Amino acid sequence: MQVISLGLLLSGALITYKIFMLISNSESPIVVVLSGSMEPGVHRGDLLLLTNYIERDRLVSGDIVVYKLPERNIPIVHRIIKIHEDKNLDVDILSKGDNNIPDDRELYGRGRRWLQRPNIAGRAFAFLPYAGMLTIIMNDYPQLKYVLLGCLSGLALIGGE
Amino acid sequence: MHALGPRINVFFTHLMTMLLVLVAIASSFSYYQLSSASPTVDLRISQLSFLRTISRERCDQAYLKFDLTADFQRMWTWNINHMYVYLVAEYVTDSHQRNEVVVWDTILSGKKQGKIERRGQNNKYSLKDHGYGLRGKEVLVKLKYNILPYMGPLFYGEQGQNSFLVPQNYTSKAVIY
Repeated sequence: MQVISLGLLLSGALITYKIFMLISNSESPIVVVLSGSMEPGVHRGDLLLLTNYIERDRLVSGDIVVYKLPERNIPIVHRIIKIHEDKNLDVDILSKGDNNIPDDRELYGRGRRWLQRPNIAGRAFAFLPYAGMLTIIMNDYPQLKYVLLGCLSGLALIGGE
Repeated sequence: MHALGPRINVFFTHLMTMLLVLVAIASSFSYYQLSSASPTVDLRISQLSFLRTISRERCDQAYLKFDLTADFQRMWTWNINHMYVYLVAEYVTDSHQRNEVVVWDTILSGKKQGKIERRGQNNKYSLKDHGYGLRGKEVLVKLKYNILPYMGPLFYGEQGQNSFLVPQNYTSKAVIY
């Protein structure tokens, strides 16, 4: 019985996340900011909500976007400072962190001068402060993740009555 | 039935729900407030210092000077944490139908910093094209702002613009507008 309720809990969380993905059309609709490169506006541990409507959401300069590069696993939250759109509506984008002095060309790595639309995982439309602090703490102390997960599943298994 | 565990659970679930509802109400109210407010802006591009090509990056580059007076203090509401204020150069070239290049930006942290007064300010980031398309083009420079709230939706706005004509030929001499 308890095992089933634990399973229900987990699948409920997964379904909620998947619904968010569907509504926002983004593969990561909620993003926790992991670096201080957008200070002072956006801090480590802040939560950003994203949408990624490729047709409707025309990206413009000044947008805060999350991008992923094939060579790197970590998504980066930065701001668009240049955008060039050609006649086929294909865009070349350059990004920069508000708190960084140079733009992101160095981050893009060798041979890449611009971001293209497929690199963009989403565009931020709302902001919740500190809501992702737990992720930051778990990121810094990975052991805590297992302790916490263990406690939660233990509680769900033992409790319930 | 009346164990401590479930009680704490119910309490915190209720607390989180209430908090989220409050945030939603408060932030939609502040969004409405922001959408009916605007800053006063006076922007003028005063000079193009030079226009040249950068062969290493294979593009045109221009340096600009501008005068800007802007007042964000009157529109500053309780839910504005920081404001990212930026100047965007917008133009059309033969190869690209939409070019937007940020040439200057600043971050206002608090109402006290809400007044901007710059004379003969140099661009922070030079105006670099995607290729060699800048000569003879009309460039529209707009002042835009992005409000980073304490919570809720990000707000984007723009107010004030000025356009200038890039010279037909490369020049190392300043063009005064």
